Amino acid sequence: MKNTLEQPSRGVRRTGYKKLQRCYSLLFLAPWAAFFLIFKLYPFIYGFVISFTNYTLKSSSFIGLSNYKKIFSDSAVWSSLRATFFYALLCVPGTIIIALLFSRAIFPRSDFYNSLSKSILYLPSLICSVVIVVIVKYLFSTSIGFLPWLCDHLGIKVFSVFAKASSSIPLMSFLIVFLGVGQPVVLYTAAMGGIPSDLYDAAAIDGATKKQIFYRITLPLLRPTTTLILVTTTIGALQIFVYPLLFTGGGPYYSTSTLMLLLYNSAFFNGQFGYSAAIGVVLFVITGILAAVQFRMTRRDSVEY
Amino acid sequence: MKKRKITASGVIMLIILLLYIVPFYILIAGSLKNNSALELSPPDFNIFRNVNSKSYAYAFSKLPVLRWMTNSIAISVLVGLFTVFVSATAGYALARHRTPFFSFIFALDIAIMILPQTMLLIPNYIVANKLSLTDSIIGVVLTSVNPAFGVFLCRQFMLSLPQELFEAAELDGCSEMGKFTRIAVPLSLPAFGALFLFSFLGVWNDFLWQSIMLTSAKHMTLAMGIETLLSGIAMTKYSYQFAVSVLSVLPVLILFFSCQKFFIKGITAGSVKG
Repeated sequence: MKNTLEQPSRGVRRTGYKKLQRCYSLLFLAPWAAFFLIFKLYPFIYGFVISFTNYTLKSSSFIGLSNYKKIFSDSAVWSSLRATFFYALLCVPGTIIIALLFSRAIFPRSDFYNSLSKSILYLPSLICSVVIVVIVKYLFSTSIGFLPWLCDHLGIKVFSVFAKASSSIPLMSFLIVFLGVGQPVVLYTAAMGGIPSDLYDAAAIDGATKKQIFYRITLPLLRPTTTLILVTTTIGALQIFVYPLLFTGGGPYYSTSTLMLLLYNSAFFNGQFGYSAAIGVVLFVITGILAAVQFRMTRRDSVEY
Repeated sequence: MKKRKITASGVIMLIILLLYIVPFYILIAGSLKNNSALELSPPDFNIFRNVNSKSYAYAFSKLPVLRWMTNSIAISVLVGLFTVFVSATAGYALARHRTPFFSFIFALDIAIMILPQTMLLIPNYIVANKLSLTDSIIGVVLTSVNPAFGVFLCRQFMLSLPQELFEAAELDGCSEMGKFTRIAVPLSLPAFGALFLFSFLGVWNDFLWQSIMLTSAKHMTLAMGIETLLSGIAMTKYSYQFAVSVLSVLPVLILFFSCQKFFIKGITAGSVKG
């Protein structure tokens, strides 16, 4: 080490020193590389491999495409897929619209109001989803407390929200949208703050209405943020898991189950890890295609400022 | 100048914000009530009368809540520390060098950040099982560390540090390790703080991975504990469920309100133009 540093020629010494620096940097990368290889790259490849086997923790043998054939004929998969898209169709546009409405209402106000509202909207994202389940299960209990009282006042019969997919999926999506809107609002308001005010001034001088300003200036300039939120909420919506697990268990007849929940149940209740991994691959492919399409669609004619 | 005008949208927003507080109020008030008060029609959430701490007494005497909390704290703190360590070292290397090799590593890191973790659930469990990491605290810690976002955050932060500092240190004969520990680390503490908070909370609130990994009762975490209360004897004892839930929520609220700036900065890191 010392020798490299004491080389007489300056050029050689510099390159020697740079090399030494790079060696050190590789050392700095080592912990990350270990995590990456053991817990990311290897499992990623291994996931594809075991989807072609009937892996059960005790034994494993290669069965070719059988898992994938089974997926296409499994009615539980189709029900879960339908439910997954039902959740996504409610959650993704819901999140974007609600986040935009909230940001639009919050942003022009004072700094204090602004940061306080962002904090309040962000709070539910910090709470364990199991706690949300505790509160909502209590509020929608059919026998005691709030719901029977409310139904009595409205003059309708007490009903169980979680007994049918047509009421439980909208309720769970409502929770996901409103409790998860904090992050999109923070992103949108930050992006709104980045739009130069001369654009607004110019529009105001030209006599544009508030509505026109929002649709013609704000919305197009928020496009990169919208793309980001669109893609991340889509990925998130396709992985919805805890609410259906704890509220309905996926039932009745897989009508509220998501692919993610089905994957979990196949592995940890039925022990079919190979089949479960195959569902994982299918879900990954669906997610990848949707994300790519969304990037494509929103990328074109994005506005620079 | 901004004009303070009372508009319809302003009033509606205010009501909505109040509605966001309601669940927290129900949770805290309910935990201080008798179970029978919650079963009334309408339920009694008045915190100015008939308030007691019976549910908490029950939680601490009849349920292993202290153990659940210790496990949750231990796992979350360790994951936070590991994440900061791994992200800081890798982020430093990626910020200091921009040869094609290091750029490739950075691209890989971004790729994992976008990659949905779903697909890794089953193979990750099998890997953990093979390495005998299941049902152990250390095992959950190691498998919960996800440095992808952290590396990105630390790299971006360290890139923004003035390069002159490193050059000056080099001239003064500072070692590579010294540049990291004496310049990069002390100056990046705000980024580390945000990163620690995010990883801590992610694990504190995690339920899926922990319930898969940890099977024995002595390793149970708070989130898993609350989930067990949703079924079984405590199923209709809502005040007990509320009390244990408050124990999970309260530390988070305290952390959030004392470190608010970190949170908002952390959320927008790298996602906003300019």
